[in-house]
Amino acid sequence: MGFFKKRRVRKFAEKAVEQQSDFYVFGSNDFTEAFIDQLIQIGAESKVSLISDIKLNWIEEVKSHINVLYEETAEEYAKRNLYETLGFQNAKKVIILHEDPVLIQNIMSYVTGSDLQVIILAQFAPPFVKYLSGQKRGQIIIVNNLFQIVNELYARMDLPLSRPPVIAIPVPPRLINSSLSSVNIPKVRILRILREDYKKKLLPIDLTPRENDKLLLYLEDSQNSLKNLVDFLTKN
Amino acid sequence: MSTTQTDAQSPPIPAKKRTIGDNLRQLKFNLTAVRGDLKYLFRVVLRELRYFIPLGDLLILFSMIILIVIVVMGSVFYAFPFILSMLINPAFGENIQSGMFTWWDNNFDFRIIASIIGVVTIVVRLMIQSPINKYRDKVNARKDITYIFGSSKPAEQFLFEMVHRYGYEERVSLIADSDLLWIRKLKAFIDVYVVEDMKEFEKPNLYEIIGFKNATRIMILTESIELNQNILTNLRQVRPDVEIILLSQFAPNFVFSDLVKDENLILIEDLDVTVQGLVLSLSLDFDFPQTSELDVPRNYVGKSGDTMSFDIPKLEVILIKRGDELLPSTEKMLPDDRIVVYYYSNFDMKRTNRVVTELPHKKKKKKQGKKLTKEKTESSTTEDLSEERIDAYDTDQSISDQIEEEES
Repeated sequence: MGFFKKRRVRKFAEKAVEQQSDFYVFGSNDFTEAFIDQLIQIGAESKVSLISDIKLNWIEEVKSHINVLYEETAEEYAKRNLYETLGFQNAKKVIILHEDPVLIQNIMSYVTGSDLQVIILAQFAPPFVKYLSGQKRGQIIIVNNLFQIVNELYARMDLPLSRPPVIAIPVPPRLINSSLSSVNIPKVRILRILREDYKKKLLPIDLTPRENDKLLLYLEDSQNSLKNLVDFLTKN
Repeated sequence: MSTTQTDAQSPPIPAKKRTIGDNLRQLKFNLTAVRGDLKYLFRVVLRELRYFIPLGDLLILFSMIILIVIVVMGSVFYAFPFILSMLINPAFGENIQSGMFTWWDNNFDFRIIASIIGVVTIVVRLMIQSPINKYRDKVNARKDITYIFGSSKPAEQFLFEMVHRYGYEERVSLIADSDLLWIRKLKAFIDVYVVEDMKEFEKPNLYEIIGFKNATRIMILTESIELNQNILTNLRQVRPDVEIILLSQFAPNFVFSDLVKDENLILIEDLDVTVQGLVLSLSLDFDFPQTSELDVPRNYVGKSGDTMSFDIPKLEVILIKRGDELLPSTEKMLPDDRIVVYYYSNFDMKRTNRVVTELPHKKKKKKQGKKLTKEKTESSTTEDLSEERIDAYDTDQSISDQIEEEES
């Protein structure tokens, strides 16, 4: 039985390599469903491989579009063997959308050993993830959906204080040690450089940013600003 | 190595030296913040007093005491001696009556005991009150409340920011499903009721007792779909018109049905928001810094954003919004402007927001506006209107303060 199981996982891994999957998604909940649906809509289905802990109808439906592996035994996630067989060749990011903290911990402890970038939701992030993300900056991305949920709740409160569309991004490699005055991204305004040596401080944009700095950006138009920003970052 | 290179390339950050004027301005802001805090505290103390000294109840209690005293005195001084005089001897009855009068007049201790019994009755009455009645009485002493159900992460984050970061304690109240440590801490700031038995959520009694008469909106933020369903259906029986907010990931399925036509039921599409964030994170590593957008504090109208950043230690103005226009922090701020601030400490954020909410300059603007239009028609100078408004604000500060005090 073990042989057949390993064969099944290997087959999945080979298919992932064959279709050059960039993203491996762990999960089966509503977030996973909505995320996979969104990826299919934007035509990125070939880049996704899904590892689900349960057989569900929606997964059966998307099976024709994306590479799927059912791994229903929770203990398997705690063993190195699964991850070694999966290999994660060509993979750029691993997205963990499970709600169970034990399952998340098991997956993360094996996946973060490599250079893969891991994406996790703040809502389900166990406390150790915050510790780990401090240790491995840049490798673990916590999608702060809690902030966005609270943001939506705020909008309903009709308060005089609101949350502005300001985000922080790491300084793009091209802009490290160079002037920001020539940077022009439509609908995006660079406000400050955020430097975190031993404590956070804001610096004016006249100064040149360093490697671990972040840029504070104001998004003038939620949709177009982000599109322009992603275009700017991918082209440069 | 690279750090040294960068340091060599970067010009040094100019360190501004503090002058006496700077210190005075900072002191003025601190005093304004204290004034804002005192105004808020005064309101809270009044509300607490209203709860601890329920005037209506006291009136009923005193009326009853007076009634009892009249009945007792009537029976002791008149009815009892009269009956005795009828039965035994008229002289003996008169003696008893005068003896009773003397005893009542001389016995001061008896009156003290009667007062103590009255006070103890009130205290005992408050103490034996059930937690839910206490909560109801306290929360009903306030107006326009947003009730929050649950002890989930979104509820915790939302309440933390409302209370500790922005100082909107008065506007929220929590009905929790578990007595967690963060909820216990929160009890010092807002009215909290912890439901001990989860079955209470299924029954209408909880909702009927609290009443939710002063609710402007109710947020159901528990992480159980079944619990949300119970709360939603019971709440609608008590308040069919109030705005109820639910997170779509924990919303019961029946709310998505076409059969449910509830205009006041609002679903926060947190699933969509999360997926957008996930899709974006595939190509962009980003996070949300600690920023807020608020009105210009009254002390800084006519001054630049950088001046405000210089005065308030852990807060920095990073952008000034004038209508659709985005201006750098070096610009002078106008009363109608909105400012985007980055904050390093929750305390300074809360303090600044308290100044803005407790001591707004909007009211004064109307009076200034009238004055300005009058001046404008009279004077023939062609100065910039914004400059005039700043000047008017500065010069009329004391007058408008006086007006505001008179109004209050």
